[in-house]
Amino acid sequence: MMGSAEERRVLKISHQMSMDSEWRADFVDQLGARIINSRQMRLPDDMAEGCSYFMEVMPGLMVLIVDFTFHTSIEFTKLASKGEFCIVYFDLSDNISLHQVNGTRHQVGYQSKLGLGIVDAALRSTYIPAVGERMYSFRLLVSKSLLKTYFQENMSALMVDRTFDGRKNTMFFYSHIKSSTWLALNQLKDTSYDSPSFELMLKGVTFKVFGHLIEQMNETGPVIVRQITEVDAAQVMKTQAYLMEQLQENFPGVDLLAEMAGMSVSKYSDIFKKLFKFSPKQFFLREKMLLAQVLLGSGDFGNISEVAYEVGFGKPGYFSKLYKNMFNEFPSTAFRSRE
Amino acid sequence: MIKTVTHRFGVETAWITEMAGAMGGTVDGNFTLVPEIHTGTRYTLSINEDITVLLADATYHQDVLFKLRNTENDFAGIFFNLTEGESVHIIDDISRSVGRWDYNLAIVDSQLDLDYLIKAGSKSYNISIFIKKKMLSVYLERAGILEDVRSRIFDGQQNTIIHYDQMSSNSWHIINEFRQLTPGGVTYDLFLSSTVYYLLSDYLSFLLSREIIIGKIESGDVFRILASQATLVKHLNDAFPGISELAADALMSETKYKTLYKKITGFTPHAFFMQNKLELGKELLACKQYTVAEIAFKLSFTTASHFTELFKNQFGMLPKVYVNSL
Repeated sequence: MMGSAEERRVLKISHQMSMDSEWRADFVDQLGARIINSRQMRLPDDMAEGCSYFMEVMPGLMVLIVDFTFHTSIEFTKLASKGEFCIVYFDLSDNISLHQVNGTRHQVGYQSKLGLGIVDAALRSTYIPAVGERMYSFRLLVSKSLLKTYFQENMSALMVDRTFDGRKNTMFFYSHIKSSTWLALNQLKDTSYDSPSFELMLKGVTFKVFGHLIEQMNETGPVIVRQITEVDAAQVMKTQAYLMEQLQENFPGVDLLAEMAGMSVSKYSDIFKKLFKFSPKQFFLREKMLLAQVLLGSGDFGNISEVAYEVGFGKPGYFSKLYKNMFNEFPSTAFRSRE
Repeated sequence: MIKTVTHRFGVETAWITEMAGAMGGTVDGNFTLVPEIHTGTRYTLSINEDITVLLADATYHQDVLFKLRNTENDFAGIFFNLTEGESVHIIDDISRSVGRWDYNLAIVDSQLDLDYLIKAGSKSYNISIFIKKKMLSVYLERAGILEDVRSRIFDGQQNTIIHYDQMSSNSWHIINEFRQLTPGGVTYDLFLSSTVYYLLSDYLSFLLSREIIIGKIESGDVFRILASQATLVKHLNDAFPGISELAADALMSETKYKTLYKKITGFTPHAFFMQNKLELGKELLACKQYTVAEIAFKLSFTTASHFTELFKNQFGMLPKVYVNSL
């Protein structure tokens, strides 16, 4: 009974996304949103406080800030959108955070998240923001023709064509947010939309963040997900999120992960590797080490062995060796001892 | 031997090739190569139809006298200068140096002629932003500056945009972060654009925090005000010479002198003088060779307690407390 009452209270909206400001019409028509000074959009007061901010930064690059505290539950469905562009999402909760995990052997655990995601506008997605919490999402809308110009130097023409042609490929790229991007976005988050220099600052931030994004994509390269269905990709993403919650444990094994994804081990491994550039085990180990790096510098531990145990290594020596392999320095370099 | 380079700047980029020619160099994409005059980087980028930026990271091999003679009157130059040492001199209309460039930030109307000398051996790092006045006007409008005021600010018959100052520490950090990057490369223009917008954002906040003074200024008056300021700095040990004497030296009426002084430097002559005097007092305290009373006497304060009081107002602590904190 409770469930159905809850469901009835969820508002639903389906909307397009576009490189021009046309997409806002769906919000105006379906939710009664108001457009203010051509860039800001507000929702009715009983639905949410805050606003969205949408602006062109250069031809082919738009910035969208979604900054609301919702009073009611709303389910947003972004329909498969026309236009050859990608949406880049920055989730500022991308840091390794402490949270309560019930029913595991740790009372307090760590959860890591890939806070930077690029989603092809051709994909459909659904999202229900939490009620009563500030939701702050920084997004870029980038035309594929612009994106392409930054890869022509380092990729073959054939690869560029395959990657950025919407008929041949659906764009896919997930990563951690660089710390300089993180700082720029946090500074922006604290700046008032009414400040006269807000727009100039937003342009400064956007160019910087976009520059870092191009650097990151040039390091690994965006992924071609031709021949991967949306459903398969979503299933594999789920196992990736699961791995991120298990960073203190041993690697659960590909068999278990493939079963979670509902596919054969060979198919699972193949898709995982296409999406994340690493095998599930390599990916897991990398994330474990990134967590270890944060913990080493946290000043919460008495010695390096404690950190090794914390991220699930029984032998500190083995941990140090793997750490050195990955970061090309010993754990002692990053270590700050507890006062 | 001094090389003279007569040139113009602008948002439209035709001046780049002309200036390269005047400096005996060539243009290669965004880079200007002038090996005879300086080594290092000279890089221009047109960010959009309203903004162009020039980056110069240079070591000069000869003395160069730059004579800025703009032909377009529709833009302002915002100059961020990280040059170290006594290397840039502003030259007045009869080719005398009116003193070292004591500022690292200047906003100068395109209608002003400006001559400046860079000495051989200087290392300079400059970011010069050329922005259309109509664009600046749009930002001032958004900041709530009324149409009436804006039209007077941007009317060349009524007003000359000019201001010399010290850049904020924020701007300094922005430039220093950018400075770490190697010019060229696929993302360089994105980071340069980012830097320009950050600097403009910072500059706008700063601009809005001060009083806007409308007035038409000739180049000669700019030099005379800057020269007057240099004189004040030389005489920090003395008592304030008084407006009438300063104005007479600058060949202006007292009213004109006071107005232009404030417009160009952001301070009244007296406030500027006092602030620098107290800075000097602070330096003297730091070397721990003099008592507070001795310093007060040295700097021509009427009494030690007067010095103490002003010092506390300026720095938030008593001179004695400051000395002990060192």
